[in-house]
Amino acid sequence: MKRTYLGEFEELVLLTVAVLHEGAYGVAITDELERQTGRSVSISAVHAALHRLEEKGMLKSQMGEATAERGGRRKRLFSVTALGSRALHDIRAMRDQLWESISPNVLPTLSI
Amino acid sequence: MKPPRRADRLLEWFCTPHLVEEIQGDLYERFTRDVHRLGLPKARQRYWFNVLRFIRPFALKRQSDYYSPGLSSSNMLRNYLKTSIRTLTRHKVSTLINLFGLTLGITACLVIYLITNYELSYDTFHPDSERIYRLVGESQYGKTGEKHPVGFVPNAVPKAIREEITGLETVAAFHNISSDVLIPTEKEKPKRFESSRHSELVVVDPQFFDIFRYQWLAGNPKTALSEPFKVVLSEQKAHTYFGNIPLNHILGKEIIYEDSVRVSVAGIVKEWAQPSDFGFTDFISFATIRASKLRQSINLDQWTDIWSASQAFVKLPQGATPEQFTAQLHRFGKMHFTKDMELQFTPALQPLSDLHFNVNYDDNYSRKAHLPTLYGLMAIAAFILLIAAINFINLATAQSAMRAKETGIRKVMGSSRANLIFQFLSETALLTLIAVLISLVLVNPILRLFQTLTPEGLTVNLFSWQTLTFLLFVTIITSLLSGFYPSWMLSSYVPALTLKGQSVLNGGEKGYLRKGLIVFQFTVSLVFIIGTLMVSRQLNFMRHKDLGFSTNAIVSIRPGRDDKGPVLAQKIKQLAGVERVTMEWFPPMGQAFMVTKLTYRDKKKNVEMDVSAKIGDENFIPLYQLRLLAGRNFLKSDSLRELVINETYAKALGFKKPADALNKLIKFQDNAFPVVGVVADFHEQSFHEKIGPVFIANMPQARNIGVKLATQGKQVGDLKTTLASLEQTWKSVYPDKKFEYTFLDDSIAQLYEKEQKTGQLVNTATAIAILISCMGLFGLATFTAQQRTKEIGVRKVLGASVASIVALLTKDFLKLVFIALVLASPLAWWAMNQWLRDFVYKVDLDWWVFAFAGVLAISIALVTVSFQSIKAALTNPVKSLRSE
Repeated sequence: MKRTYLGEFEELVLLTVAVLHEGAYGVAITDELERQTGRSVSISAVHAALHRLEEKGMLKSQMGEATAERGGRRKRLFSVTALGSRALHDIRAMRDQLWESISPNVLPTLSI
Repeated sequence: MKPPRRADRLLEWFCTPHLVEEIQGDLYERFTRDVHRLGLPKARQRYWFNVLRFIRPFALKRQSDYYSPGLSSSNMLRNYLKTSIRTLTRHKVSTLINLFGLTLGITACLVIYLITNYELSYDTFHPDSERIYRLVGESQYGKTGEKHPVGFVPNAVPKAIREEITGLETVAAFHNISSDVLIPTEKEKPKRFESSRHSELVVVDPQFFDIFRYQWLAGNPKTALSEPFKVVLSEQKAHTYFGNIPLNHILGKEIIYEDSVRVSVAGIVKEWAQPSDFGFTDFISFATIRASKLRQSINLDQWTDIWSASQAFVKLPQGATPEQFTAQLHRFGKMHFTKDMELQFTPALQPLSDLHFNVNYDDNYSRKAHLPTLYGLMAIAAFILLIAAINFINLATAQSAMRAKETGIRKVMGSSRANLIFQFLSETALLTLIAVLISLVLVNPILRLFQTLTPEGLTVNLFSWQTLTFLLFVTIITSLLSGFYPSWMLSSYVPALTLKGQSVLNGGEKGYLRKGLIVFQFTVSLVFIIGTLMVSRQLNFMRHKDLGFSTNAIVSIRPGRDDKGPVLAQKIKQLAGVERVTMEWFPPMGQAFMVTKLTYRDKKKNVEMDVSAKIGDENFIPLYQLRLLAGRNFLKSDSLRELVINETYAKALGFKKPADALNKLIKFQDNAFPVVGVVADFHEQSFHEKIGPVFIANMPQARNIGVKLATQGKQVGDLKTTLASLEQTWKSVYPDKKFEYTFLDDSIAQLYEKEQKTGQLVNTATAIAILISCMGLFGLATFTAQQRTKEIGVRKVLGASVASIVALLTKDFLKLVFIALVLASPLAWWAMNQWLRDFVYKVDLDWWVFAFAGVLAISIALVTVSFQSIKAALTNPVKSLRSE
């Protein structure tokens, strides 16, 4: 089965868009990513990834409302398309399959 | 608490427009958070940092954010070509006008380029040509004589320079000689080749071939000319002399110069393929001079006189400058030409590149090109091309309204401005290219047509890389010059306005640029018109002004240096149809004249001055109908007994009335002679020179013959019979020589060859300039009349007369021509003043010339414009108003 390839960062961004549901836009996604992953993420990188994902048809967008904190500028709100959702599901299914294929005790357990 | 404005601007500048809003919004939001967390300065810093991080491919501005085929896409090119051809064929009149103008302009440029390139390339091809110099100098006769630059040196100088001046690489002397050439044949009589030009036979130092690297086809370049009685021939000359036999067989054959100097061929070289003043074909070895009778005419030890045939070239060593030798040469002059010598001479070096242009350094072989004329030609070419380009600009901008819709549609369909500019420029380029092709075809016939104006020996190679580069350059320049502004303007239209049908024409600028350009065109044309008028007036003046003597039906014959001249004169005198014959040196006016020193002494003073000598027998004055103001003609004698002087000389000697000079004694070469008559002043040189003091006397040097043909009641046919009988007489005296004669009018006209050429040139330039300007005006008038069809219809319905409408349409154009006249007059006045400054005897710059030129230009413009305006005014308003 051929799939559109998703980079790791792209996958994260796509997932974050799904996490944020209605309020997914540039800064919000960046903040959420930083919070969830603990790494510092630049706005421009997120924008670039969003742009790419939209080109691949995994995201769609519409312009939201203007708010004062943005200096009267509108935000672009993203949502995951059917293709995007399918890609996420595929990846997850593949990973699950892989996890299940691992024999017990092969991976050392990590104590947290 | 605002983010840095500059960072915002930067973002807006580089970021593609449809992303700017969201990105800026996000950055702003982040900035607000940063201010709270980190404080303003840090936040601003972060803002900058974030903006810069957006310089990534996805966010950058593209050429166009819509689909846009690149400039080089073949689809678009085909589309441009198609629309170009369609537009060009739709607007036939303006296309023809533009094509015609551009073709004329480019042809003029090409012709002038070929001429100037030819002249400027003279002798530039020699290896090390920048190190080759000619020995020239400054000569002065006597202590009070004028110093003259001369392009030649005394015979003894080259050898002395070789020995005494240190640091010169090579010195090579040569002498031009002129002689019939005899080729001995096995049969009884040798073949004779008459001396043709003065510039073919030279006696040269062997070093000549070290300086000028000829290609040797036969013979040994090292030894060919080291012995006496050797000659090196050019390939063509060798074939002329000996026919088409292999070059090796020609070596060793004999040639006879000057009837008795027998030399053998020792080498054969190839002629120069590129333009060169060195058209020598027979190189006789220098050692021959001392070994043969040539030493009689070329005295190699002569320091005291100077001949134009005596030439020398030097080659400087690598890295040397001519200035290094100035002091040495100066000392050389001081040392060899001591104070007591009649001739003072200071040698100098003339660069080879100067040889073809500097008339001061005269000689027998080089043809001088006039540099200012060449520059003038270039300016003319540039102006003509400019006028043609202006036509294009005017017509294109005037018609831009018609193409505004096309522009609009193209823009709506996603064409960028650059695309549009490229499209219109390609249209211009297409037209220019067609013009270039046509002019390539036209060049050769035109060069043939203007053969009198083109330099002698002009060879044209249209497809050399130089010419092609020039054409490419002209094409690009012309396309840009004429196409850039119109395309810039057309592409600037706002599609929303043009598609709604609003006229964008005349908005804002009101066609000032167009008017300005028309004024410019007519200014150039008017300057040319005034130039033509003045040049032709001056030429006319020179042709018709009373020269002080008669030039009508006078033939000059030069028998040569033997004693049979008087015999010939005696025989001619008896011919029917000959009115009078004189033995003379030269006619009163012409290229040749001699100045000598005369002294007059009376009680109070001693007047010594240079006086021009006119030598002739007692028939000289009556034949040329010189007017005697006082006294009488000198009497028949064999030698110098009496003098006749001119009025200027009489005045210069201090006599108030011409009659006062009679019987006074004037000293010439140690003897005093009485003045027996005073003649009215007459011109002896071109009108560039002032009439100076002159004396007329009989001397034995009078070897040439002046013949006055009877013209009373005769026709041209009779003249021919007389000339034929003159030739017969000549043959009876000189069976071997060709009969050559010149009419005095012709030889005087030759003095003004340059002016004649200038005249023809200015005429041609004027005709072309006027033609192109008028075509442009015609096109514009056609267009205006078309545009105002409705307006004219309405006016006519309301009762306007045809005359008033014609006036309405014509007025604007005439105003422009009038402004052009005001601008052109001072320019032309200045230019013509410069030109006339060279003449001592000249016409005045009358105001009526300017008025006449103005009237001429206005009437030409009027005729051009009124054709269209009358047509427009006569149109039935029903027709023009019917369709709305």
